[in-house]
Amino acid sequence: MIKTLLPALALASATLVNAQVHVRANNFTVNPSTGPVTHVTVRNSGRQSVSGVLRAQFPDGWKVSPTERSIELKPGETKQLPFAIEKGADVSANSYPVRIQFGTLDVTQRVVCASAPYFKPTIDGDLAEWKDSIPISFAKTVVRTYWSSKQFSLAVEVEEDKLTGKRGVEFSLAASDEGKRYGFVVGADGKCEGVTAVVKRDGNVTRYEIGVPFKLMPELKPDAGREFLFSLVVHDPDGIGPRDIGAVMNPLPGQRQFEFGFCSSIH
Amino acid sequence: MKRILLAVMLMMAVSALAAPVFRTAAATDEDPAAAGRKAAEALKAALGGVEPQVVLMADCFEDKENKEKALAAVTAVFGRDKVCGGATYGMFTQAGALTEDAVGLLAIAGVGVSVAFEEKLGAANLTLEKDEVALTAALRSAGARLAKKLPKAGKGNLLIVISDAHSPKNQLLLDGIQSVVGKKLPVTGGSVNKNAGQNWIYHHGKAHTDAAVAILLSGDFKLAQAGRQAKDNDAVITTAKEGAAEAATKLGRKPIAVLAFDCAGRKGKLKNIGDELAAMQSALGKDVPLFGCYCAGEFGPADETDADKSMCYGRGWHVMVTALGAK
Repeated sequence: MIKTLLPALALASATLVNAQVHVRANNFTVNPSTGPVTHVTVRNSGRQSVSGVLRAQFPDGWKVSPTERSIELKPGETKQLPFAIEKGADVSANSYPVRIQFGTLDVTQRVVCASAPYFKPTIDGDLAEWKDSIPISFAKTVVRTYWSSKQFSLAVEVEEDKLTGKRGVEFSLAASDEGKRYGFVVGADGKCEGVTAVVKRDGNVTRYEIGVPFKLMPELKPDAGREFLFSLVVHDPDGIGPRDIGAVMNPLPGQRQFEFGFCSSIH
Repeated sequence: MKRILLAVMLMMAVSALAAPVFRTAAATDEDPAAAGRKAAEALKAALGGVEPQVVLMADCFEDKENKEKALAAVTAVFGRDKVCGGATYGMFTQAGALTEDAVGLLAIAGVGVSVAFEEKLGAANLTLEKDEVALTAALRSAGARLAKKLPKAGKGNLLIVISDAHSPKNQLLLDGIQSVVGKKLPVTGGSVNKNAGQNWIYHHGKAHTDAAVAILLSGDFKLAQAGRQAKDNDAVITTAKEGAAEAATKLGRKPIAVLAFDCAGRKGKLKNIGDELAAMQSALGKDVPLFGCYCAGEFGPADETDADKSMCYGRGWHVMVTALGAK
């Protein structure tokens, strides 16, 4: 196991509201069709208190309660506002528009369902078993996750033309913000201490299939409905450069890990 | 000789229906056979010589091989014909909550019991998103077939349904059941673990997928139900207490037992698993026999403003509480 800090990438933040307030529609951590509670994060980075009504509008046809919440934030304060999805629908593209209005702010962010369904794949580089996962796509990369009681599984498909340089997948998990961060780097050779990984090349796509025993991450307690934090960067130095999963997660300034969930199998 | 045999059978029947008896036990062990054996022996001791009519089993082992070992250990004590149930995400009794490598048991005696089993529900690998018409028809038909196997189904007091049809599919199965038994019969129960390869229903000593089992209870007992839904830690704890308190209050007397079919999603939101059980016991007391399990869908009163309060539904994110009392 290699423990490293993720590189400080300059992610495009879609969250800036005005000079002092940032908003972020959090990832769904289970499929929207199961009726979860989701959150909008609001951070006051300014020196004055702010207050008002925040409205969140989810995809057409969804029923969400409430649709707005009053909020007051002291300087430096961050709050999570819950919104219960009473009726939602899953889309195969795994990208959902959420419009947020707060004061003069009116932004629409794309939100993903970041969740690992239960499944025990064979780690052999063949991704045929991953059809029931929930893919997250960004920058010519597709990331999929599964869990079982003993193993966190990860599949990463990387479209890349050049195979030179130090390539690989770097990722981390944590039980919470306060918890220990477990970091791993799987190189293009599939090597990573304590981790099972197979890397295969098919055309211009490199496929990483990775199994991480939960015994390497004792603070993580996998269970359906439980959340964890996750980050991932694909290193492709001779291609389009580092590819950070945060690019599709509307990160707040300085945010490096994002909420994910362990969920039951999707059928 | 025939007269003696008849007299003995009548005495046994009277004895069985003398007074409702509900007892629970649970055990955890990495060895599934040991967990099943410990739970079964503890239940036998709790019964104090009373012969159960049915034993409801919940387990939370991973993989069929381990589940079958636990099931075999329980049936070795109580017999294959008396044990039914399913795979869950964990369980709780008045003694505590167990969420890993565990078996939970509920023994029922002293009431009328009918058990029905239906295999090949027709729901396997179908989704509401892609196969709504086929899935609806299959589950409604299967629910009706299941209910028709219960003699005098509409005359019972309580129907417990354990199914491999998770929320929201559970409502479709219940629609079929209610087409036979009517919509006023109290129903509780839950959907088994929906994780790939873990969705097993137990009946007559065997594990089945795409199946459902129904237990109809009748006799000299009262019951009251309450359902509550919640999706975050604080609300899960609060609603568990509210649901237990409402069911106990509506019952109007100290419960002789409480059933609580709870959502695994609710469990996933708990920072401390024991908090929800503690909340329920703050309303019920710690001495009331309590059997609960974490499911992938629950049957009971829906905690929704537009729900008919006199009916039961198939829902998710709920804890469905049924308080049972002597008449």
